[in-house]
Amino acid sequence: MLRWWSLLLVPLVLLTSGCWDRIEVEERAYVLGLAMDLPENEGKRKISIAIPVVQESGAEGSGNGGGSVPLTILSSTASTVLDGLVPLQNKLNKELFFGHQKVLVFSEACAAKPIIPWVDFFERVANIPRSIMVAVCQGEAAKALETSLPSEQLPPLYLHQLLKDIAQTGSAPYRTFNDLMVFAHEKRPGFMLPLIKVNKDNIEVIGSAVLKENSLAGTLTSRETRGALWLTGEVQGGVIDLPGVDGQNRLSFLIGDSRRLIRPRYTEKGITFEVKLIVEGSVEEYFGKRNVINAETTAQAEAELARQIRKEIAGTVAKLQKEFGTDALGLGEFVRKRNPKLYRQIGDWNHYFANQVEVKLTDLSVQIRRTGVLR
Amino acid sequence: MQADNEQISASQLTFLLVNAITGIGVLVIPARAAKAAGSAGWLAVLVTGLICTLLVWLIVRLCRKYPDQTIVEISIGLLGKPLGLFSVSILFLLWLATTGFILRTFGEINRDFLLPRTPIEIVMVGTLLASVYLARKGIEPLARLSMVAYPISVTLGLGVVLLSLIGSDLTNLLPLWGKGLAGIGLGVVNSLFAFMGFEVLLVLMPFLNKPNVALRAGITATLGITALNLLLTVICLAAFGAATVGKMLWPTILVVRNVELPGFFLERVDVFIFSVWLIEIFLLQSIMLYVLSLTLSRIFNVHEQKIFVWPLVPVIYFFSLFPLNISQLATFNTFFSVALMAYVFVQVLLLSLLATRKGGRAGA
Repeated sequence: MLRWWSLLLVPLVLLTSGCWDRIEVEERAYVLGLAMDLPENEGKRKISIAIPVVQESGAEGSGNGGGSVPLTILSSTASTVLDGLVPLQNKLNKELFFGHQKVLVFSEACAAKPIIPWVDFFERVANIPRSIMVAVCQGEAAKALETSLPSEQLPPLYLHQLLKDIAQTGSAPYRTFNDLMVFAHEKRPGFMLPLIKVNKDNIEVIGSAVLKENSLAGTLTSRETRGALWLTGEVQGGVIDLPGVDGQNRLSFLIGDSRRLIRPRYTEKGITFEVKLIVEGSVEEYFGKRNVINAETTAQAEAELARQIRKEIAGTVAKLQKEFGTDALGLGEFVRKRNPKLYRQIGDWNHYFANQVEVKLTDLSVQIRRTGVLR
Repeated sequence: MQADNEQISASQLTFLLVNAITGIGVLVIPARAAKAAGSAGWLAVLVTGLICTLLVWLIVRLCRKYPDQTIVEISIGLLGKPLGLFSVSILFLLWLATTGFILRTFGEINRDFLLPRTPIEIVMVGTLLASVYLARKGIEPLARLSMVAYPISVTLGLGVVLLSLIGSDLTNLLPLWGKGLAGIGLGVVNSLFAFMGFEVLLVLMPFLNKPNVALRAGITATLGITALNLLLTVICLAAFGAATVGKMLWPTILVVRNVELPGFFLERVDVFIFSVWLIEIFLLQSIMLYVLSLTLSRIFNVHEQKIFVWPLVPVIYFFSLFPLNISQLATFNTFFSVALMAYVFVQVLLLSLLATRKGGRAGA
């Protein structure tokens, strides 16, 4: 069947093979993290990127000797992110690649200005993952890209893991870039981002930054943040400390899980959100003399824990309503989704939230399920 | 051999149909529906699916009366030669344009996500040439390949997409009515793009070895696609919320981007979507090439379908390069899908009416 002229096709192999999109790992500069600071120039941002030094990170005796980080930090100031990347690319012999970006950090000053226009780049460019962890940093955000524990190699990866794990202690919310964009596109009234602080050789998560519409309204401490997270149903860990009577029976409760159910009640004065909260966990530390396992101690502790949680929630709600005037709890979403007509009528939900919304803990049950391996 | 290549079974027809429908649509349907209808996007998709099922029923009802004829002969028979040929030519042109635009959309997505530096023309011509090879082989190999490729593609693709349900929020499907009834109506119009393709039934019916199972095959195909599109829309809405989905061009790919599997190197699972989707587009192009060449051969009353495949290539290529930018492309996609559906609806309805009248007269 083979015809002689089909041999003429063979040279085609030489012409048609090849690849425009050949990618060599060494030819790419993998941006692991990007930080945005506010420079003095009005309307511009200082953009810093962190790129790992690929060849040296595995080799021995890399960099400038012991203790140095195999990471390059480059910065520039520009009016758009893409424009800011040009001078950075001009310093690099490799192509910038954002496909493995892990963190996006805004300085507090930067977050105080509208941040939404500045994140468009990360959503628009096709290969940037939406699972980037986002945080707000006290002080200079670029520092957060180069600081890590001495034991860690790549600071952005350290920060990434830190932000992912911190949700487990209930000190800060777990927020990906996707969450931020959903908040932005849906024009939700408020949002919480984890707040970090750069120490000498570590980064510390110290609470959360509350965004109102699209700029910073204020910050919450980690304890206050938990007060908010109870209501968003995001507390999956953390510790509640009960001083006990005269500090004698001091007890530490490790939160295992929490579930919350919120039901809006529409009244004449406004909306009352009835919250049902179930908290489970275990006692992992006890200073007292008696056994923890007895009905009386458990019941007392549970009641005391409930009181603490109530206090936490009430404190945060008051702060959000009176100080920030921002619904960072997603309560507006309940109304928007289940009663869209009313939500449209209300218009400025944040204003309504501050003045006519009541959060009522109708049912709070704390269950001490376990006491470790001791009685 | 000839006879072998011109007979397909009911299940083969089903797979051919779903393959002809599954193309770009599955990647854009959540955005198209959500942009217009808001959180009720899934409702719009459901309505569109049911409308298409109805259309399939109409088509089968018409074609069953003429078991060995395609739309070309039916039209000529019922409308007379000049008018019949004219009506079929319009259908042919609409098919031709949509095939070109689908090829272009494929090139654009490919450029965004897979091969940013490869000239889009190379990607498009490459696919087209591969499709030519398959389209010239006749319908049976096409159907067989569809039957092999489709289940694998859907299983892999859906598997990855389903992963993104983790951590998504189903309350994003509320409020139930989204942007209201007008929004849902507009959503239906926009969603038609993702359902276009089933009308190839108009020319494929005569190849069925048992014509009486055509209805079952057609309805299985449209309902299956409806379920698939519905699922994708619900998943994207749950993961992003209506406002965000409405902003996206290819939400189904982006929703997969949200998935993060443990481990540093397996973090971009969207490659699975692409690998199966490439095969789908190749098959879609092949089916459309076959359908177009078949229609042409019937119009010119030539027995051989093969010879019309090559001449179609430059025309499709021309159509694919016609839109100047992505926004024109989106407009063309919407316009032509709606025009095609409307035209098929009108033509089939008209022919059905004529057929009943003539049938009645012949019986009397």
